[in-house]
Amino acid sequence: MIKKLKSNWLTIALTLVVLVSFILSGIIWTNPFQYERPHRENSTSSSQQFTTQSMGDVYLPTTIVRTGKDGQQNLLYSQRANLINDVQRNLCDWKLGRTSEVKTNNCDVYLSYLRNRHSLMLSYPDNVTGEVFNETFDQSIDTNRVKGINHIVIPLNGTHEIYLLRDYHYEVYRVQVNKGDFAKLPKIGRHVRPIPVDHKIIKGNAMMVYPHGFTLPKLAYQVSDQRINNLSTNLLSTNRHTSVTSHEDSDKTVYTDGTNRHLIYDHTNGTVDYENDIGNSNVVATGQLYAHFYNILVKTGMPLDNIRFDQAKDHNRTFIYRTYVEGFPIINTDGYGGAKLQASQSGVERYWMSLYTVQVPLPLSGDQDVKLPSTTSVLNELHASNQFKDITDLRVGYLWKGNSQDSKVVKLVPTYFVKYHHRWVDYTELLK
Amino acid sequence: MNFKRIQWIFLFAFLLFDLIVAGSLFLQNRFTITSNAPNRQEVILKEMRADEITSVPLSNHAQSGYYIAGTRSGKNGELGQQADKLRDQSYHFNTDELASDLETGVKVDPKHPDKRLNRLVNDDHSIALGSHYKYDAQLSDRRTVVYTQQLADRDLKSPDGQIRFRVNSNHEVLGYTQTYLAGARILRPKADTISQRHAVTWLYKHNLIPNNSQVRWAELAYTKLLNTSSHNQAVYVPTWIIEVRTKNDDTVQQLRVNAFNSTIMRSTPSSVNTSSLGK
Repeated sequence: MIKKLKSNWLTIALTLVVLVSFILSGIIWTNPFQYERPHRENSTSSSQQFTTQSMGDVYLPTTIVRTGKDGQQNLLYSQRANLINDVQRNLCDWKLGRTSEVKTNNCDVYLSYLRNRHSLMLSYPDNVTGEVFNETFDQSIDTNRVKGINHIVIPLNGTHEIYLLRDYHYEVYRVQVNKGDFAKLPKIGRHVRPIPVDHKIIKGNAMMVYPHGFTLPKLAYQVSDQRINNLSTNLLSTNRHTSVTSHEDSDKTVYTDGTNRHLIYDHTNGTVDYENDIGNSNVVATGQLYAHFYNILVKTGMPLDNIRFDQAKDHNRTFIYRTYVEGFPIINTDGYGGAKLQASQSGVERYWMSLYTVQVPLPLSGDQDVKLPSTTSVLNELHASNQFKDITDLRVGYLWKGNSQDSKVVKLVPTYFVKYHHRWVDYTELLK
Repeated sequence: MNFKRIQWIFLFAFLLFDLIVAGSLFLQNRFTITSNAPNRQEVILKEMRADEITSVPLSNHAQSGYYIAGTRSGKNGELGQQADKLRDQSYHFNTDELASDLETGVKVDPKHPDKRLNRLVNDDHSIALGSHYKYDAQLSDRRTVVYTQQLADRDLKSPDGQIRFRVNSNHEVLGYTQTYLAGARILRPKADTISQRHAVTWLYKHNLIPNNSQVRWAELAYTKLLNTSSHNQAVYVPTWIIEVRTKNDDTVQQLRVNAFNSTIMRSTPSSVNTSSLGK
């Protein structure tokens, strides 16, 4: 036996190294590829501001709802704590495991997950991809399986799993939690006020409704304005030494750099319309737009502290970003405090934005609470006014009224907004 | 014989392959970390050392804070009401600053004046609202001992919330002046601030830290961002205050960076007209 081994030792050693090479190759094949994450810090040299907001901060969920053991749902509202950030920080320490599909195309099952008893739910204003979720919460869930996410449901009853819900086709996914601290998740407390809410499926859309009237405070902010020269240089300048020229055209100034790019600035309301024909060959893939548009936002130099992704439309090729205050979006007819970015399949990129945004809050004296009616009574009023058929969606937000040319401060008033002919309109406007 | 040689060659080839692959697998993590590590801030810190700028160790942890509004409280405000309790001193108000002379001097240790003064400050009958203040070694010197008001667990480094004790050459406190910021209100939910290291490198990048100088301390505190025209309310913001000493001429300057958006702050806060908000 030993003699045999001795005479064949070379063959045996060879077999061993070949086997080891197989094992190592196997490890490489199964090991997930290491992507380099987008940098957390980005500086824009010309605007004198430094953004610490990473891509994950712009694509954060905006509402946080706690469902009690009795099924009662409450929106957690705080003027002091940043609950979403607290949850984000907590979830980043979690280890998520395998993903599996629970159910699709069943709206009753979907609604039951939205109303999951004894749970915490984070909701995005609109669908984000699995990659964005992974980036925000420092996870690596299977993005081939989870195509999109609207809600993250975290059960609090001790089951070590979370659910990812996608409104499109009512998809429900289960993700195993291998390690996670459920005790640190936010509760209703001293600085957290519960606002009763409910979830319903109306006209095929999952919607959060307010079954009772509630109050929200008016808010005041200082209007910050970016200089048009900064914005135009940020958007038009490249490494190539092209000079930006501008010419006045009544109320508008047109900036061009001699290539396919131009920027039109409207003096009357401070809005900017930018167009860039990058050509067919450079079209950014739809899945990559979340990162692409984040980089554009950083490039513009606008302060990103409260900017959140709000909506994707036109087959996910147009994204809308808005300023959020205390979990509610600011809505303005001229697009103040936000941006609309579009990348068409034909290779034309267009951005609509404004010079005005809000950053520094101001104190308001006296009683500033606004009583908002329940969603049902808003819908009933709209029914009575015959405008109901043109309305496709409804939400609560803050109205930024009027023009900012003359005023350096703005008062934001909470109200219901309805989507009327594809635009968000203060519902009281329709009742007039 | 020939076959054996082929076996040898294969053995070596596979052995080499195994070693390289195994090595890259085990070292992979280290590779990815080192490729990310020399980020901009590290590079800037190196440049600073090359320019002979020394510094206290700088933390890279983001902190958090709030926008806070408040009003200076005067004779008719909270400070005036609490001052009614004061004993063994004569005080008066200069607009909204309380100035007081103690009837008997308080002897303090020149190195640790807070040891004795903490007792005084925490006594309602000696100092009004004293529990809101903390000893501030950085602002104190031999002739004045400064206590700063606390706002959301941080110092308020502003003349709007301070107690300044006068110390004479015999190390005796004979009187003090006091201001108090009342009705502090959080205006917006908690938000992250830039890190200490970030603030210092930012100043350096904007050529505000001269060569051959020393960053003596960098502290996060609240300072006034702007005044509003409604009821004298002001807005305070977390600020990195950085003290820099130039070694050549031994001058000391304090620089301030808004910790929310890293803009460099002017020494006089701006004012906004908020009258239109009242409508």
